[in-house]
Amino acid sequence: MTLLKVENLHVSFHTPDGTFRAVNGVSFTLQQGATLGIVGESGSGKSITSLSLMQLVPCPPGSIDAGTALYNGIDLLSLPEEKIAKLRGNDIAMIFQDPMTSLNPFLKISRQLTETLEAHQDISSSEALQRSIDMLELVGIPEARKRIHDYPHQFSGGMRQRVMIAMSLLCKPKLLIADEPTTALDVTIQAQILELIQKLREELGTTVILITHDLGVVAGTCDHVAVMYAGKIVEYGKTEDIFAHPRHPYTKGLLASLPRLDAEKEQLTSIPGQPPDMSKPLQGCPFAPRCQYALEKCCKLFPDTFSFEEEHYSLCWKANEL
Amino acid sequence: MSEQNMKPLVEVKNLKIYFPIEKGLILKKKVGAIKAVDGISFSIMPGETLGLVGESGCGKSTTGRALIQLIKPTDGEILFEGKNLTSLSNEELRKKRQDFQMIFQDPYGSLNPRMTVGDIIAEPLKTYNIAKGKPLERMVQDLLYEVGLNPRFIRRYPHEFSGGQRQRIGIARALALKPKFIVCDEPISALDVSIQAQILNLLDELKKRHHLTLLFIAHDLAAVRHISDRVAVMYLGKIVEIAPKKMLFENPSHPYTQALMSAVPIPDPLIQKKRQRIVLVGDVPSPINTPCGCRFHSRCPKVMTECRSIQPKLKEYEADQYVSCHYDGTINITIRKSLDF
Repeated sequence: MTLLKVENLHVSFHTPDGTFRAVNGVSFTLQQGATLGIVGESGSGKSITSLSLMQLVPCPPGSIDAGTALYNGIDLLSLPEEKIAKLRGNDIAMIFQDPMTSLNPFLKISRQLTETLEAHQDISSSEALQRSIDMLELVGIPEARKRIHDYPHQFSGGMRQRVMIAMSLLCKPKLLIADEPTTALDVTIQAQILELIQKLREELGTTVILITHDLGVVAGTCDHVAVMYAGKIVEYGKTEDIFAHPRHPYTKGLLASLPRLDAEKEQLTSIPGQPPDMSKPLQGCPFAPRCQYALEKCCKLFPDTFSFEEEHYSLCWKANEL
Repeated sequence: MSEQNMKPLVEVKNLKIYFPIEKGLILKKKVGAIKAVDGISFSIMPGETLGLVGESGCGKSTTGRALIQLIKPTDGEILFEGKNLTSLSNEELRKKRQDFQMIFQDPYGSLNPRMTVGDIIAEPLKTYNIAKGKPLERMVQDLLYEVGLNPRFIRRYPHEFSGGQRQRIGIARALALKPKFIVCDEPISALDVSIQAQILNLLDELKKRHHLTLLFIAHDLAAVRHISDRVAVMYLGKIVEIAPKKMLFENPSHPYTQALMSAVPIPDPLIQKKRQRIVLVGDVPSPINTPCGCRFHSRCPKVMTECRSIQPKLKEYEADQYVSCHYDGTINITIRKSLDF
């Protein structure tokens, strides 16, 4: 069953330095219970895509220029504030990157957790507290009954991220958006958190969008991958297909440039150049200036979509030859 | 090392760095100490790259800073070409500093925004009266060219560059005095994935061209494997394992090294889904009240009784592989896969 269908999403930011087109026509469909990984570099528009789904893009300077995002048949992008507020934290929840700053340092964890429950559900405060404690136990906070009355600074980074996850899961959301949930954490803690998200997904049947720049994280957790570059999904497909047969030079380049833990590489093949300046109008394929396969056509015409295996597509003129 | 008679360029003996914890506003009283680095020893041969890995707070950056005398160690010796740096006078140290430089993690914070790129790179050359005027400008342009930047950028300011380009400027500054030894403190962790490989390749190239000795500090194990010859793993102020990279990555012997390796995701879904992961329970303990016995015992999947009371010493397991663990690497205890969240 389709849970979310995003079509032709355009988001831009109007600043004194010009208009930055952060998202340029993103479309994807998400099936219930699936895990989609969105990968890309900073500035590729991956976070803005997810923020706009919850209408969290600050307007101004940002504006959602076009597109629809159908969630169970409702368009999230055009929903009035009071209706989207009911969905946020309830049906759709988000885990932010930085566990250090996403919790309010002045409020006890208990207050921050029960607030979500009390806002969305008609339950007593003691019941809300009990459910918060249960959730903290579920995410693996030892002595949850005692720790819930602590302040955020009394928790370590990994623990705070667990609190964030607990908070986002309190209302049993159908869709969980995790924006770089492990980037600020150490690898051993990252492994704990990823395993936790995986386990919760299996137990609660939550659909997950995992935004990350780490292809390793994607490989282990996601069914599908969307690779973003310059505000567009340039390649989409099943995780196995993307890693085994990347059909876009950017994906191919990223995979080749990664040093591997399990193998020795003589030299890393790096992608030359820098990501494009998003305030300038793009002509042709945005990756063309950095692409080793670029044709003359690539600098003039934006590539069509080429489809391959089941659901796998790439936006590259030479996709068939890669 | 094959050359038995070769002397190490850098030798660290029983290095300890404690940061005092003080209480009271006017009459400060020492109430404790953060044991950032607690008695580590290692040496780096000329031309060798030693990788230093560990999680945040394990003391790897502190070690790097102490090595180039940005932090005075509490105890221990740092020998550079056989001379103890900790006992040098200020003037002697100033002269010696030409030989060791640092590349910092943050390419945004480590360059003065009010100086032009030319001035930033020329500063060390001016400080040591190596050149001035036209020859100085030529040297700076050569350095820019060497790190892959256009020499015409000399009059631009740092904000005109991207993160990767700024890191190149930082590298040019570190190279200016033709040092023998460079400490690279997380040089790629602030950069985008597609740029990281560019910087790693540049460091690799410069290392070979100038016969540089590097201490490469990072938490990204895959990058460390790529650039290092030997790797040291730190946990809570101690080195738990140090070995040539091939040995360390293919046959990690300390339980912490094993857990660390297994936690690093591999960008290949077929391998990644089949891997057996050792998920460590809990967090790193506080460096103020370090656990007695082995520092890792509170999270170790192979913990035994003596681990809780006796601190293990760094022992040679195989040639050049040193491990600090009571547990004898030859017995193969099945790894407890912790799923108790």
